Amino acid sequence: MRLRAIRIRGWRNLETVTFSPGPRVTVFHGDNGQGKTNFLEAAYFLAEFRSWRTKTAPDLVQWGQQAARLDGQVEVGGLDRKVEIEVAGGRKTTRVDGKTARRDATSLRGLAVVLFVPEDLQLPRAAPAARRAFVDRSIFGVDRGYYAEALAYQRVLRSRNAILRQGLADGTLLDTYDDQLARLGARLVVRRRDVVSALRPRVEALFERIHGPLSAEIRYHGHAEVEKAEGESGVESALAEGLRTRRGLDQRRRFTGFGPHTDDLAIRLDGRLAVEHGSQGQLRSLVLAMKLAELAYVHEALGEAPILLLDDVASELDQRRRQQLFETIAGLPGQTFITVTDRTFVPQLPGREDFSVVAGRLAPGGPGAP
Amino acid sequence: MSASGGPIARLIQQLGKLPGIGQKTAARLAFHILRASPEDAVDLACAITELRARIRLCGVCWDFTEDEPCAICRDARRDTALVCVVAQPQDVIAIERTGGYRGRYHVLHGVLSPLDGIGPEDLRIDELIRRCGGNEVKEVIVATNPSVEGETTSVYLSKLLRPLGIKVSRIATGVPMGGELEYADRLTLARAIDGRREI
Repeated sequence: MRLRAIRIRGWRNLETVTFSPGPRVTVFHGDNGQGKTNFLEAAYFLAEFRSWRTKTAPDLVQWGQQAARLDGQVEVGGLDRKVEIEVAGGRKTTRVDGKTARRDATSLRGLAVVLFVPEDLQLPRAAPAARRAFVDRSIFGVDRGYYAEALAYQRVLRSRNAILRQGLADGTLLDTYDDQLARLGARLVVRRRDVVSALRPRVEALFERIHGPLSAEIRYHGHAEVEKAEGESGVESALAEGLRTRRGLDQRRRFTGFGPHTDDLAIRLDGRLAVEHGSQGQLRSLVLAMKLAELAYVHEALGEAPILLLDDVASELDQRRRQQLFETIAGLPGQTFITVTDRTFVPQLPGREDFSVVAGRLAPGGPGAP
Repeated sequence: MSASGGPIARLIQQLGKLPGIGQKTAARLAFHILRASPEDAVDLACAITELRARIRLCGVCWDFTEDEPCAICRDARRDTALVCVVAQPQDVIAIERTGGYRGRYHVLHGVLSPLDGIGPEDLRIDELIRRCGGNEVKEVIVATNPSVEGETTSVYLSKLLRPLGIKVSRIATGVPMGGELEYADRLTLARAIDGRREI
């Protein structure tokens, strides 16, 4: 995906602007609170139809404005497409080539971004949900239809939990939800296993390049009895069996404690759990390797580079890791958007273009342009 | 003329309660009724009053009806061994429009949705089980929507009905007639392939 031009109106603190980024690296620099990240958010929204920073649509609309609007011209798979986003009155409308499009429409394949924010550096230490989200994002980047599958699983799970909370003793009803949960869950497990297998060698190679000779390994980690099961139907039976044997426990605790919604991504260094044995620096290198592996995977699977969005990450990395990151970026064929407070953190990269952001206003170059 | 408090405001308020009708549309409709001929307005009012006075639920299939039992349940030419289970009365109308179905119906008045507090006891499921307990019904077609809730309801019904020796089937989902394969989404296409039949 390449962003050719974007028109931004009423979006957070940004002044109305039409902006055409170059084909390679675009650096947004300026002090905190000036609106650098709002540009990244706008680019993210064009591909994702939502923000990573807020779930509440009105947050996006500038104070005193009726609506926030993005009109993007993007190139996907050699085709020019028009993406329009409108957020107004607490609702968002998303249109692609003039037609209303849903987030999970498979026809939007290729509309892809990879986001790297400072919170990602906490990934090894964060709750398992963050690592599952990392895995799910890699699947979604290649196959948007996955979103609908994950949502269906969540809905059945929440329904089953609602039944457990109400303490209904209808065994047939729980059987029904177990069946549905096992069927939808098996699909999730198989897809997550597949993507983690595809990411694993990339993480290993990237970590070695960034950090040195130490073996890094990621592995999808589920319940022991499900781990042994192979194939979608095998996993489905294992999940169904697990739900059945734990039903008494679930009924006492009034929630579903078994299934892919409790799975995790195990991250190891030299065979030992990274979160327990890794140093701060090693963990940061690991996250860097994982994010770059996600980028490489999505790129290869789609056959074209997604847009890489780096939000204030440079300042969180030490000199060496920063250099590794930027060397990789220098070799990327696609677009990269970077926000940074201090421009000197970003080295001279091929095709680099700088913009300063002051009080929501975008200006080329900026003070002290190299 | 002020619209507050009087008959106009009352009508706008009542119309505004209808699904899909906002304040603006409600006002437009109210003023339209006011400007229309008095007969039209009275006809509309009578139609609404009559609807509530004369329509009730059929004691066999639980569809809305004027007579007890309803016309479909009384029709001796229709197959009593075959029952099509639908979520809403509108679905009966949709299936009747096809003209191809000659069995009977059973209206659940909803689908299982624990998140909205709707369990089996809120639907006409007990009535369905009782109806299938006799020797008359041999086969049940579950025609709920292919949504998470619709699917779950169909699985639940099959679990209850199969032990009674009833053949339970689910309506096929897949590629619509006149649709083109390349535009079908993956889930629809996968279902269509799963539900293939020999020709």
